[in-house]
Amino acid sequence: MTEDGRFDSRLAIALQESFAAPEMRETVAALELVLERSARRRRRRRVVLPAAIAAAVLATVGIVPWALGLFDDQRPTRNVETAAAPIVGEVWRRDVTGGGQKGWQGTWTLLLKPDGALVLSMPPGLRGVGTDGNSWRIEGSTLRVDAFVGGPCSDLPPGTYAWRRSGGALVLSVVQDTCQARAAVFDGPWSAVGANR
Amino acid sequence: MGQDASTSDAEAFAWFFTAEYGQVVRVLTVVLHERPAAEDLAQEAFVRLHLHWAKVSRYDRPEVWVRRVALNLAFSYRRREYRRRTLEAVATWPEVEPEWNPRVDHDDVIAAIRTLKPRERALIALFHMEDRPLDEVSDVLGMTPGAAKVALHRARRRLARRLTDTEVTP
Repeated sequence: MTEDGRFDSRLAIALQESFAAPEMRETVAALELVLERSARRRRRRRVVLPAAIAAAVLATVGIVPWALGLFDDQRPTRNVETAAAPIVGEVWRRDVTGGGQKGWQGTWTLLLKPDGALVLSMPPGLRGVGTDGNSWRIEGSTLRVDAFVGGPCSDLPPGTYAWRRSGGALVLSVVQDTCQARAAVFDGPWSAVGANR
Repeated sequence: MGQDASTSDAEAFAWFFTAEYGQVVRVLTVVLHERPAAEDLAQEAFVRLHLHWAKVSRYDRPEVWVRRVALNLAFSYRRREYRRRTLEAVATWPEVEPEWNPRVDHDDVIAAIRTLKPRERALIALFHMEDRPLDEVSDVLGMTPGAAKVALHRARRRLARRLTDTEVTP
């Protein structure tokens, strides 16, 4: 047998013997699961398509009068309470140090936009951690944020922080946050950088 | 009449599933190193096959279609998992080594295969484990036969270097 032949056969034998196919009873169980999942998806399609059409019709019916200005008296609800107004629309900055989270250490900026969007900028070395679509909400002296739910805080509830103004700074103290990464960023004093309303 | 057609379709699908499911799971296990994920993604590929069975069953080689779907799902899963693990590692959680439990002891060969990229592992699994001809392998992976041959040659050369320091050609 040639060198190549020996190599091929060694590879084939290793693969054949190391990776067993599922047993017949497992295959039969898998077939049942597949048929169930397929049937469920077919049913969902039957329900979702008409619902999507209905939603599109409703959206059109709702949007047209709004576009024509018929609902001018209905203002969008905002996340900001009067008492919280001073921290909204302001850009805050915080230098995160320690915590043993390399890449997360550095300067972060935070902006709570009046429309409820939360904008964070992160240290330049940190990639792949987005905050698109994240939001904030203030209830009394508590700030609720859902930053990083699409990344390291996925499947975790939003974090809640007590907020207060201290001199020119915004001080956030963790009330409840099961996401360590988010707590490491938010918990502490933030200094004002400027307004961005 | 319609009832008969759908019964025979269901039977044909069941036969096809019984013949191919195990092989697809094996190929995905080589690519992913994770048996549960391989089973889950193989099942997802077969769900999609079932939804399109009326059309795909008329193809010359529906087994190529289901492998292509399964491997695309596996490659996406790998990318997602890689991103998630990178983020988690950065955010203080330790990186978890994927599960790897080969049944028989071929540690050196399996360890060498693990060093390959997912697409190369798929090539090796389809060509050496499933014994599929190169044109079919290239069809599954959406490559030209020439590109598949070159990629397979490189993967084999890398494996050979790790295992025996010997040059091989496909």
